[in-house]
Amino acid sequence: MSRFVQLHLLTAYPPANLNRDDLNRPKTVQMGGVQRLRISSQCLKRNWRMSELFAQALGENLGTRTKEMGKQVCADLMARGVAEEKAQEWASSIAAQFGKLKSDDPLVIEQLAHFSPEEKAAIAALVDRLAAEDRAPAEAELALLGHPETAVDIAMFGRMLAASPLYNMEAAVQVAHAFSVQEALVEDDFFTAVDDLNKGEEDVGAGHMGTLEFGAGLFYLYVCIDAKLLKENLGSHGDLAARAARALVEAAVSVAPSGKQNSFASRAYSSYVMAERGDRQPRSLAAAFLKPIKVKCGGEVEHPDDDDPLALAIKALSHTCASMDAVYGPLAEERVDINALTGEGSLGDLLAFVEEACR
Amino acid sequence: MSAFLVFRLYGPLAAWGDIAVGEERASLTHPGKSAVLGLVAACLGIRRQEEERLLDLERSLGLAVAVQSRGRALTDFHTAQVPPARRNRKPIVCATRREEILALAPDDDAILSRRQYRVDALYLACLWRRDEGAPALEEIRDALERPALIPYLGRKSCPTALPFWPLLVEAQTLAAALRHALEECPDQWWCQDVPRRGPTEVYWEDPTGGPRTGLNAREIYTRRDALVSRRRWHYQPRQEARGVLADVP
Repeated sequence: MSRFVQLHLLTAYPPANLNRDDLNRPKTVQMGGVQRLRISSQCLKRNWRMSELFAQALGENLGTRTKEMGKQVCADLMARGVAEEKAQEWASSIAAQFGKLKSDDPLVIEQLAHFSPEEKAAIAALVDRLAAEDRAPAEAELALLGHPETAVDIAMFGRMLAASPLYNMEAAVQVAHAFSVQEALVEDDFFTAVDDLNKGEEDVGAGHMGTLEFGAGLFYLYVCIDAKLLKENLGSHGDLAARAARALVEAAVSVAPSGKQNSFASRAYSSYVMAERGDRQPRSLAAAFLKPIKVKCGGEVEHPDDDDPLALAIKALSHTCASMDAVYGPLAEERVDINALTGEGSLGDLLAFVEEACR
Repeated sequence: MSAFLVFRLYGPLAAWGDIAVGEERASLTHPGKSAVLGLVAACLGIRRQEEERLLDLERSLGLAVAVQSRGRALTDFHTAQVPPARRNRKPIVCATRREEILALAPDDDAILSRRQYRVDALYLACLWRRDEGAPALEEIRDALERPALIPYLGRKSCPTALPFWPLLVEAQTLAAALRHALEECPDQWWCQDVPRRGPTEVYWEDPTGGPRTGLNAREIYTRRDALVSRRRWHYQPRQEARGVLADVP
């Protein structure tokens, strides 16, 4: 298992205003002194976390939210032959680990608490043990039930801003701001809205006029997963960490930010993805695009790729990666890529690679 | 002769926090001590709660930063939609971000912030030992090459785009160590497209009792980035001198 899993993605978004600033213009950044379009890190993360795909992929692991775990445990204990009084007492001490108990009903927790399948299994195992040995749960055993550590979303992206009983957590996934590999213009769309009932007898003007800013670009995205920290955040459940990483990659490859999508329908899947795993210092390959990709036209085209920005970008990425390996020594132990331009590689293989690296 | 550890800091975006209250989260033009030592601590695997080890680093290491390019400022308009803690006196508990967003009501406000970053900035950080307590410079170098936690330049969304390339240098003065590192640093064609404006400046803290700097201080000013407690986000003032590397005294 490697410490770091890095993903480099090239995604071509058609004209869109995916991520706006306070003036409703697409966000931009200067790189190598040249303006590029930008999609902010927070925009990417929000859209991946909000997606149906993410929720479904981890759906089985989102567990149950309930206040009534104590009642469930009490019923289980009684079903195994423990006396009602003792069952209520033990169930109450177990439920107390997950939140403050109601004063009028010691088996019910005041706030909704989250129980993942792993926790429910731990509670079930403890119930079996207590029933078999006919004794109250020990302090140590109760402490092990602990806080819900397996909220995958938080394990990957860190602390939430919500008053909740969940732990604050260090994010295991780092998502960089995405930027376009070519110099990008922010363009204006001048639009008018015609008034259907205006017959033009007095006034031939439009009902409303305005401008809409947009831009198009081939974006470079970089994601770094700290596989060790992810596993640690998930209570050492390797399978869960693997599944989480897989869901993240699937979302990164296919989910587009939602800004102005009804006007622009700018949905794209990544055209090129490279995944690498290793223990050495992770590095984004942004340096490949410090000098923006410049497409040659007409008579200047010597090589078939010269007028293809995607092919040039893939070449720049591979070349930079290889050069860095030559100068600094191999910066990753293993790499896998998929290339939608040439039709090489399969997403399934890439996902399997990432899963194994995070297990 | 003194020992120095010199390493490079480059990423398309970087953020070196200034005093930030409320909506404005400004960035200074070059990394301070808390930023560089935070990075080193992450590479060494020191967690935020380990106050003692963090204070050891602060006390026993001296810092200088050579600014090859201070870059430009980028202000990012950042919004975060967050449901209130309670609605109709019932607490809102969410396990995922998706649930949080789905729990929003139409008139819930978003938290706004303007976060500043530096783009096209390139730095060289230099550490030397001034007291006992911190790990040896060799250990820090190894940690920079194989970090224990993901290193980042100020904010988590600012990854490094070039290897740190940590170099242990024996030199008479700080300036000599920096010049040696700049010569040896494999610039290749990657760094050449980072626009430079003006000569390389160096910001260093008072190395009293330590190595000579070999630099002329043109200006001395105070920056509040000497760690007192990471947990309480408590820092105290630290003096920094500014000079130009090419200026031979």
